[in-house]
Amino acid sequence: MLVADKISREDILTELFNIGVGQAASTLSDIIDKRIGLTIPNVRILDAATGKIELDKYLLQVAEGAVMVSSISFDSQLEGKVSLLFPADKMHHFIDLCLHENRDDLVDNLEFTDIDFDTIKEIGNIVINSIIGELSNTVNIPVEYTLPEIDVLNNASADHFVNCEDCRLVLMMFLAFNIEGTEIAGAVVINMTLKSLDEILNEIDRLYNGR
Amino acid sequence: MDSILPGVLNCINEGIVIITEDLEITYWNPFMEKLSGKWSGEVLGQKVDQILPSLCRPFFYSAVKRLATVGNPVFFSAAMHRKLVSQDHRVNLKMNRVSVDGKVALLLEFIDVTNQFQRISQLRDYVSQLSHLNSQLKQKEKVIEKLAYYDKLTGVANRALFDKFADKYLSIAKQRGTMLGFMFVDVNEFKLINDTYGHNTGDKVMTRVASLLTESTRKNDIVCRYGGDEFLVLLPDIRTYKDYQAIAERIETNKKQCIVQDGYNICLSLSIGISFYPDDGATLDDLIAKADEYMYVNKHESRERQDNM
Amino acid sequence: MTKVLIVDDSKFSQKITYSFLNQYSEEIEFIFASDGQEGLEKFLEAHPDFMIVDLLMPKLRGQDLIEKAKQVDQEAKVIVLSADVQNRVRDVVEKMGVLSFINKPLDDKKAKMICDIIGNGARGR
Repeated sequence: MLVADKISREDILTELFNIGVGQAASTLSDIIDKRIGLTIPNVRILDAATGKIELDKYLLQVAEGAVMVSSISFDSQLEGKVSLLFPADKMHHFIDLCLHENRDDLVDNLEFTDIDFDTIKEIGNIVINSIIGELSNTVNIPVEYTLPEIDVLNNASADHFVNCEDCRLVLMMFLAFNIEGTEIAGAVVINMTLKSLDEILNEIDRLYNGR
Repeated sequence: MDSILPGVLNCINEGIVIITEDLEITYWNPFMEKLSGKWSGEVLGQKVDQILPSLCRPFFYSAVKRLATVGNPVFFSAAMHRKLVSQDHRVNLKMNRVSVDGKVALLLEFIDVTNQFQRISQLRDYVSQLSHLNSQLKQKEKVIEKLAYYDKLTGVANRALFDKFADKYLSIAKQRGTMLGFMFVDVNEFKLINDTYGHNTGDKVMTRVASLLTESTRKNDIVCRYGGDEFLVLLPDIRTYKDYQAIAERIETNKKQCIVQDGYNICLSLSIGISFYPDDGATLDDLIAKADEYMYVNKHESRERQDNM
Repeated sequence: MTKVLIVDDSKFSQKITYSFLNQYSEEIEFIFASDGQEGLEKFLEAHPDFMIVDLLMPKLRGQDLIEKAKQVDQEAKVIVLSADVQNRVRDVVEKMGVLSFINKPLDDKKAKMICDIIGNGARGR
């Protein structure tokens, strides 16, 4: 056997999420009619406490700690919450790039209209649908959820996204879209129960066992 | 219950369309007729992507496929998808899966947000008008300040600005125990220059003197036109006599100078008197009076020298 | 034996590709590389008959690896297997003269397609 190395759980999830992010980029690229540069997201599985520390590190780099969050919760066979975070100060620029608009005067402020929220809702829906959809598809576990809720949080801290109860874990992944030279770096935080992750990994094991 | 549902859907102020997995339209409510301008009768049984050509795109087909198989809702925003149903309306589109008796139907909700777009564009116009107005006001404020604090002819500070800074610098000097210099400068025989070459040229000479003083002093020194042919220079933060000497030397070399103005060769000569806080007084009036006095001594000396020559 | 170089930064993905292809053809010798740079080195060293390349990789992107390989051997046989499925990316990569552009995730149908390409190519030699 040539591939003798033990494959880590992170590597497997990274690959699955990679496919999801690739699909999200493809959909968004089709909609906005622009090529999107991608970076390789690395997935880390952390216990809730470490997850909080790592997430706070990311939030510290975000200007004024303001993030725009799209989040969905799911609670049937798999139980948890997915949050997609983007630095709020970059969002006007991101939205403008998506809408083929150029409004220098409004870039950088943290006021958002309902139209901006709807645009982010669509982007959040695309990214979360692709990532969670790919995962649920691969492991054949249906995940039901609604459209993401969009929020702008000032001085956000990890507590907003990570719940320490019920032996919850944190899957964390940083992703970056590059549109026409502007990089928008976000984070995907999946806070799920240990049981749910075990279920996913067991299913992957079963599917690929012997391969 | 079944019998009232169509009635309910007909009343809803949202475009409601139901399609099969194969995109065939099975329901099209009256509000949708209004949004799209197409009657229910002409679209039923047709494919939705043919009736709404803006949906003829890969992202829509893959969204439908995923929705039909996985069932998670999809959202298309009016901002990213212009002209989703018609030229005149901006709509958000929400898609959900509805399963009835093992059959899958897709519910499309077209939510009219045209008003939002109009209101936001109105607000943007107001904001840009206000910001334009604001920058105009700021510009005017600058002009007013310039008029209030600067000499119109030479562009250097006027007395009002001088008084403001002199007060401030004097109290700083008192606090820190540094020296503050006052230099009185008078253009010798300026009346003669005016009479010989005309007021127009005289004015220009005045401007040249102002630049000469500005160039020979330090960045933070304040050159002020104090009266007709008099200038006062405020020399803050002088720590040693060396600082003062450096300035004095530069002015000394410029004190007697021949300049060419309007084709005339004009020889300039300046009389200068300098007083220092704390050596020459503790109040502005005293210090300025002292500087004035020294200037007259200097003028007198130079006249005598000239007479002797 | 046909020599196939699999370049993918994910060990998991390497393994999946290997097992899918292995079940359709036993006449393949596999070589693995975990990033673009290593891929280029092994390409130059082992002269594989086919190279299966991921696009999103550290050190050297798949696109750049293909370009460099083509500079050395204009006839290099490359199959792209990538998660970056944007049409705009596909267009650029296909212009580089790759045999096929396949979207991840790999399944039986796609694996069969790769094996057909490899089989034909091998017989053609």
